[in-house]
Parts: sequence; C-alpha cells; structure tokens
Amino acid sequence: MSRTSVLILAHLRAPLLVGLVMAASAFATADTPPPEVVTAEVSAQAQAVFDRARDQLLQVRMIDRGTQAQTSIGSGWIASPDGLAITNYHVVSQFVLDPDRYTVEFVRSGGSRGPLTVLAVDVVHDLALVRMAGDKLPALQLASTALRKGDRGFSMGNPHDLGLTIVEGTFNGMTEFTLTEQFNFTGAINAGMSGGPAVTLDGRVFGVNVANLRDGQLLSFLVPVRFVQELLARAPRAAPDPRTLRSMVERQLLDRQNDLFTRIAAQPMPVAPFGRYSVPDSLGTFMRCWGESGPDRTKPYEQAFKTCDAQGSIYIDGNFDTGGVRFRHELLKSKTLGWLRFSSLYQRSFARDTPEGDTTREDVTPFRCHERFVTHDGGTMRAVFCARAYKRLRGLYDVRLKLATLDSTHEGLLSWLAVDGVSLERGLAFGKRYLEAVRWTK
Amino acid sequence: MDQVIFVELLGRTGDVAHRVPLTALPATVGRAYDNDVIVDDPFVAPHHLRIERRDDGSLGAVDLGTRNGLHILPDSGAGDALRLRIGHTLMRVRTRDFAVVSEQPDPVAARWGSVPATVLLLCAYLALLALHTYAGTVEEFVPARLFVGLPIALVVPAAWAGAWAAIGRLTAGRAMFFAHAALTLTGLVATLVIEPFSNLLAFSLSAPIVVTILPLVLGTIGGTLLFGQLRLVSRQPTALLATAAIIVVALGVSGTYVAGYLEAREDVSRLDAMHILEPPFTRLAPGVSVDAFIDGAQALEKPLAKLREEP
Repeated sequence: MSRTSVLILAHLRAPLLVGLVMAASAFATADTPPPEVVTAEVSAQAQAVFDRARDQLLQVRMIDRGTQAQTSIGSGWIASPDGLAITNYHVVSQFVLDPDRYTVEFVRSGGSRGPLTVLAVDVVHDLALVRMAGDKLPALQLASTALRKGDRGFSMGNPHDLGLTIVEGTFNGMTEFTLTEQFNFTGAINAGMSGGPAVTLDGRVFGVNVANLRDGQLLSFLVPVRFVQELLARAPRAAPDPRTLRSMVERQLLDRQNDLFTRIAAQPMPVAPFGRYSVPDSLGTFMRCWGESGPDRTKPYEQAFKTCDAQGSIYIDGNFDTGGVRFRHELLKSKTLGWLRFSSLYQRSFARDTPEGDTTREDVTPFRCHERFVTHDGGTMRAVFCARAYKRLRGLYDVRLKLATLDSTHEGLLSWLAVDGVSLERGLAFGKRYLEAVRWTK
Repeated sequence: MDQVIFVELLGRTGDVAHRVPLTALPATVGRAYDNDVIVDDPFVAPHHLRIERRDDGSLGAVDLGTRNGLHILPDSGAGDALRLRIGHTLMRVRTRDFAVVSEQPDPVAARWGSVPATVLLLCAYLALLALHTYAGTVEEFVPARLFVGLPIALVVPAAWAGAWAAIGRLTAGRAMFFAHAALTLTGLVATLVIEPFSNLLAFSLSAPIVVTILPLVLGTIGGTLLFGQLRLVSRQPTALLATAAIIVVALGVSGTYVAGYLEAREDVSRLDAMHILEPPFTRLAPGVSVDAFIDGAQALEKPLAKLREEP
C-alpha cells in the first residue's frame, strides 16, 4: 500500500558479507572465460559514457575520528574545475549533524584520496555541495535540455564498495503523487551509489542517484539536476564553520513546511463525506489516499477506513525521517453489539495508534499530549493533541492529533493526523483546521 | 522467702523452649544433672553460671569459671530481669511482676472466613469475570467463551489460598482455607470492579490522574489482603505484620511506577495520553471549543523544551 524508498547508502558493518562478496567474485574470475569483445551498440555506448566520466567520479567516505575507520560510503562527482563536487545530503548527514565526530574524504578512480569540505546542503532534495582541493579538475557538465520519458540514461557510482559501476536505465519522468520532486528512473541503483551522477548519452548530468524502492524492481529515484544548479548557484566562497550546517538544515526544513502549509492554508480545507460525517480529504496532488469499507459478514460490526499519505519524507539521519503528512479515518458501526461491547470495540481502535517508525531517543523527545472533550458543530469528541520535539534540530516537532466522536453508543468516527517536522505553531494551526473540518452531516 | 523467678530458655525462633520456675536462690545453670536448670548445649559448661540475688535486691549472674564465658545481653526494654547467652543458648530471667501485653484480637473470631461468605464472594467473582469476558468480546459472542478461561480463573486463586492455608497449618496450627479463600476472592473482586471503574471515572471526568494512581490503589488493596493473610498465619504483633505488608506494597508500587517511567522515557513512539473511551452517556466533564483546546495544547511547548534538554 505505502511505498518505502531506501536511501542507497552503504553501511559497511558486516565483514562477513564483504568476505562473501570477495570470495564470490574470486570464484567468478577463476571460472569465467575472458570477456569476449561485445559488439552490441548499447554496451558500446555505456563504455563510452563511462570512459568519459570515470575521472569525475568520487567515492565519498564518512570517517569516524575515533577509529579512523569508515562508517558509511556513498558516491559523488566533480561539478566544477575548481573542486566543487556534488553528493547526497544523506551521504554526509553524520558529519552535518555531528562535525566533531566525523570527517569526510573522497577516493577517485585512480585511488587518489583527500579530504572533502562540506559547503552547503539541500536537505529537502537530499543534496550536498562539497569541495576538494585542486584546480583544472575534470568536471561533468550539467544537462540543459529536459529528457523525455523513455530516454536512456546511465547512472554511476560505487555500489557496496565493489568498484565504480555504470548502470543503464530508462528515464521515466517525475514521480507522481509525491511531495518531493524526484525523477523516476528504471535502473539498478544500489547502496553505495548515492550521490553519483545519472548522465545522458552525451555524458551530461541530468540527475543524482538518491534512492530505490525496497519492494520494487529497478525502481529508482534521482534528484533532478535543477536542484544541483540551485545549490551550485548559492555556493559560499569560503567553507562555513561546520557547526552552522545544522542550522542550515533546521531552516530548510522549516521553510519547506512553511511553504507546504501556506499552500494548504491558502485554500479551504478539502473535505469528503465519510459515513454520516464529513472529514478532511486529500490535501493536494502530492497525497495518495486509500480506502476500504463494507461489512465483513463474520463480524458483528461494520468498519470503513480511509488513509491519506503525502509521500516524500525527508531523510535526516539513520532511522530518522521527517516531512511527512498523513491521516487516517476509521468508521465503526454496529447494530448488534450493544453499547457495552461497542464501547470495547471503539476503545480498542482508539488505543491502537498509527505506527511511528524507528526514530530513537537520540533524535526526538517522547510525546507529550493534551487531551480534552471538544464540542464543535453541535457534537462532542474526545481529542488528543500530542507533540515531540526534535533534539538535534531546533524548533521542529512531530505533531499527532487523534479524535473520536462521542455521539452514539453504536457508531463513531475515529481519526488520526500525523505531521512531521513542523514548528509547534504550524502543527497547532493545522490541527485546529483539521478538527474544525470534522463535521456531522447526519 | 524469695520471690519465684522464671528462667526461660529460648528456641531458635525466639519462642520459649523450656521454662523453669525457681523458688530459691542462688541457683545454678549448666549441662550437669545436679543443676537447678539443665541446658542441653555442648558449648555450655557442666556448671556454667549461678543466678543470685544481689544486696540491692536485683538479680545477677556469675560465671563459674567456664571456657566459653557468660554473656550478659543488654536490656531489650521488654522488662526482662536478665538476658544472657551461654554457649549457643539464649536465656532470660523474668519475675512474677513481668507485665504482659493484652491479648491480640483473633481474626478468625470475626467470622470472616465463613463458608457462606466465601461462596458468596466466589459467585460475585465468577459473575464479574463473565461480564468482563462478555464486554470484551467484540466478535460474535458465543456463551461457550465464558468457559474458556474458567479453569485458570478458579485454579489460580484456589492454589493461592491453599498455599496460605498450608503455611498457616505449619506456623499457627490451623489451615483456615476458607478464610484465605475469602480474602483472595475479595482482592480479585475488588480488582475486577476497580479497574473498569477507574477507566470510567478517568474518562467521565477527563482526569488522567485517576489512571495514574490506579497502581497505587490496587497496590493498597493487595497490601491489605497480604496483611490479612499474614495475620491468619502468624502470631507476630499486628504492627509488625502491618509494617511488613506496607514495605511489600511500597516496593511493588514504586517498582511499577519506576518501570513505567523508564519505559516512557525510552519509548519515543507512545502517545502519552489515556487512550480510554467509554459510552458517550457516561461523560460528565464539559466539552471545550476547538479554539480553547488548541490554546491548551500550546502549553506543551514548555515540558517539551525541558525534555529536549535531557541527554
């Protein structure tokens, strides 16, 4: 039902796995006959593209200062002769959030290596601008014309630290029904290729590898190159104090949610009928809604639900995502249960909250809640408003609202709202609109 | 003529194992059979000590030259004339004017554990269980469901009361199974009534505090019953048993709260709210407007700011 995209950052924490991969490749080398000359046109194109881009590719390594060992690896590419390079925010997020514990370094295809300085990030689109020392470096050009659905593209990077790799795929336009603007790219982008370039046949960058779909087949996502252009355009001359990068992340997240909720607030709250109620409906094209209803004959009650989810959560660190908006309505009704048993049923659904992901105490505080009976539109409901604060980012909260109407002993509406990464003020304002949009139609 | 005095040898549990009235002093104590008081303790000398009346009229003990010595113990405040240890034996000397405390009330005399009362409680317990099962079944209700948990629901309290009865048989010489069963059932009935009632009250008054104090209330009930069962099996003073029950409850209840606190501290997914819904007609607290509700939620900022500072 819902989509889970996985950021393609390789965490090397399984030496056994690395050993297995090594053994397997040794076996393959021993047993496979020398490669024949491939004459197919397609492969020859990939070869040419790769040869042209090889020197511009980087492997980006996060180094733990304490052990001087790498904690994660990703990819990147040189974007200007004076050493500006592009990778994903999520490749360097550990450094951005904790600059005292990590350093960032690059390795080029020849094996040369050196430190990288993080200049700026675009956390919303998952990009980072870094600088390496040097001048007259080979740089990749950015594509200036838009691709069309079906165009061929080549994605490059270093999957699982196995060596630079080129992957051929198909450009499939923008992803639909998502908050984050990304290209849908059909190609095998794997962990470790994050931040690598996706180029056209003539070697120009049109996107940056960012994620793939866990349950998909070759369903991968790219950051459109225009966000790279915007990031390059605001490249600072001097490297900022790494400690200021975190406030850059805070500001970008707040700005993005401000934009989103200003857009939402500009129009009346969309509503749709749901049983004898009227409830908030899809907030825009970025939201995808699912629903199900109808009596299950084995059960002495009727149940209907509707879920709306804004795709495109923003990665912050580890298991910590933000930026989502989702809500769920549930209708329960029974003619046969009687008030006592209906109350048990209603209570049970109310106590079952929506899943919260794997965010830990390192990133957020526990929830604190405010609960009351709320009388509105001639009816009464139980309303619970909860929030938890982000620990490492200032001014950001995850907000939850849940409600249950109290109008009947055999029927009721339950509703849950979750908004991630907003200011408390925004969260409260939207919670208010959401509550006000719940009405009785009779 | 000298006053009668009593020499008491104490057993391992502190009970009097042997009591010898002495009408004449001095008197000797030791392992040999020519003593006035004979003590079967290999660490005691054949002639260990002499009890005598001093010039001022008080009682004294004199070591008769023994290897292990004579230890005069400090006054415990109970009014003993002498407290001594010889070898591995504790002994005390009391006079006729020793003041004993008044008798303890006998809990059995309250007829608490009468068979009809127990049967009545058992009926109440089973009825509440049935109601609980019925109310909690949101699928189609089949009466056979009532019997699913019945064996456990009966065996566990019976085993509990039986265990107490066995202890009572050993320590007090009386099992009083029905008294223990009545106490156990009272606790179960109270729990089955109080828990849903507490939810109802918390919802009705919109008062989370009711749910918060529930472990304390249930702990207090448990402690009262523990006290009752201890009283049935023990001959220790009431105050001592009450203290024991209070300590057990305090440990249990505070443990519950500490565990809850630690869990809530770790769990960043749980919404810190009541999660209770009851039928609409049970609501007493008034509803507020949406504006007032949101205004109230604004106050979350402060506690969250505080939580944010925690490591």
